[in-house]
Amino acid sequence: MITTAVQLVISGLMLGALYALVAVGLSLIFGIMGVVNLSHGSLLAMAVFVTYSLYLLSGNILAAAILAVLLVSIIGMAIERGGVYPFRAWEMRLLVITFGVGKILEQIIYVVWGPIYITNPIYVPGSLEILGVTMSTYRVVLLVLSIALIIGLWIFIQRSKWGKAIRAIAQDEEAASIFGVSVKRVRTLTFALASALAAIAGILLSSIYMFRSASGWEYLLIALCITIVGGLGDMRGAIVASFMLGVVESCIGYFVSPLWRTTAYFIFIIIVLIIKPSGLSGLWRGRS
Amino acid sequence: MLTENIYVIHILTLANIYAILAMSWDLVSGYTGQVSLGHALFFGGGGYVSAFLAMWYGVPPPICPLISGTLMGVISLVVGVPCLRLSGPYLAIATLAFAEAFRSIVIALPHITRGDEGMPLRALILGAMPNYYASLVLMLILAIVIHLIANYYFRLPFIAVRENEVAARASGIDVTKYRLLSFALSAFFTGIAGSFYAFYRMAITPEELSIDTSFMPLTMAVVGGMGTVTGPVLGAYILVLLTESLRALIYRIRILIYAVLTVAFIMLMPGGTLGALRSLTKRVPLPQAKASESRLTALVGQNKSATSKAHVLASFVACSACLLLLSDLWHI
Repeated sequence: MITTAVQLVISGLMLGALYALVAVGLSLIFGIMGVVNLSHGSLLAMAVFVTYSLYLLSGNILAAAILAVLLVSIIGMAIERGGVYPFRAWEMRLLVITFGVGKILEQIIYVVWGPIYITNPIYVPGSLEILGVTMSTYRVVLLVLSIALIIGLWIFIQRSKWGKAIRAIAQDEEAASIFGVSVKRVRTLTFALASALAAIAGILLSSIYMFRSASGWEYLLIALCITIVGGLGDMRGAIVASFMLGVVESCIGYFVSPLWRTTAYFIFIIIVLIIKPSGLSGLWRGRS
Repeated sequence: MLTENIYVIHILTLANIYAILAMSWDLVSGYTGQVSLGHALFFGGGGYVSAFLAMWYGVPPPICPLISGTLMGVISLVVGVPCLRLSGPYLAIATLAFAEAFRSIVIALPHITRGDEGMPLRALILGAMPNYYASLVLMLILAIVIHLIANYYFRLPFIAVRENEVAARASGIDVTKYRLLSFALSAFFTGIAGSFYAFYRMAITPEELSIDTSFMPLTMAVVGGMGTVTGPVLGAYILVLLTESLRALIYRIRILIYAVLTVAFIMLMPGGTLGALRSLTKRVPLPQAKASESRLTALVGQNKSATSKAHVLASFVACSACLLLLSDLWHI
């Protein structure tokens, strides 16, 4: 009984950490630009498929993954420069553009790779014992790696000059540009960063789950749900919500059925919008 | 000769059904500016409700579309009420999630919905030509109804809500009410279209609930011209005829073409084909100038509305007549 509980919590935390990588990027983009990047999920799927092909070509999974992450962040930058920045004044057009770009990327995957299911062979053999529960080493490595990435991002946002610029723009774009922050460059950097994080998360997820061309939408939906539960545009809320929803998902997957996952996420979105539209971020903002 | 071209008739029937879907999407997204990314829910949902009603409960098929439409209108409030009182991208996110959630429920309950196989229906109208005329009549009736709603009864509040929410609230317009109204009506019309589609195809599958189906009306409205009634119809005809006439060449990349067209149009020509045509003839201002146009309408009175109504009717009749004529000439 306790063994199951611990296993559920640890695998939930692992999922949550990976989802956090996806959701934080989405939240960062929304916080700075007020844009819901609906192509986020397809960027993630693109990274998975590019890694798959590069691995088949080169035989080196690490190099393949790094190249894929670079490529996807370049695509992300191109989306910002070509599709988002020139249209920043029209919220509705931005939604249609990012949705359309997501659809284009998904269909490019479908046309190039076909209707196949793939996984990427990233694996660390062996098993560990935590609290008297046996876990596969690889899942623990994933958990530690994702948490390290999140902490790294947190430090980057809080301490570095770029991070300060990002936070400044999120607070007040005009004031930041008066103080000499190049808004255009910081926006592009944010898009690159968010896409790279999504790409890393996707490549790691593809070692556990099967991916097809339309899988990106599933992860977009999960990330959207996380950002709404956490409060749109709030990074801290997104991280907390990711871990919460990761554990909830692994429990639903165990006790009910993995098929109800999407439904559970939808119910979360609606409940949060009815009770507290500002999400978790409303809790700490309300107090302070 | 026409009756021999059953394939062409089939395509035109589909174009009519998708035109209803696109017009309904445009009613909420083009007219009030709230993007819905989950109209597949109402389209497929309407089909599934009809399938249940007709095949399980023995409800007479002719009233199924109305019941499905009403039910979809009610369901739209489940998403609409929490989302539309907030400003921001909430409706887009929630509709996207709701459609996917409904699709996964349908697939997760194979003993009720037959899962991926979909549900069978008995045809409501027999024969290709009767179905074509029925779809054309339905499309024209709904086009006139939507035209009256969006360009006549609620023209000013809809434009005010879309163009400037704060100003609309300040001038005493209940923004949430009008958004909800347009969303529920849109769901109602989409439900009718979905029901008709299911009876016509004699089946409804989870495919009709997928993101691809949600994406289609968006593409059609954007390509035709958002914020109009004729635009989505034009877009539906252009896209359906384009993909079907080049089916052998581009069937695999049809959704890629849809996506590229959507992005290209919304970036370069936000007024769509209709906007481009209008700016060529210079008779009516571009859709971006809607706010000033509405002031003009208020000054001039109902004059313009009446002429544009006649204009819409005439273009519909001309459009379908031309298409029938063309298909007759092609001998496909």
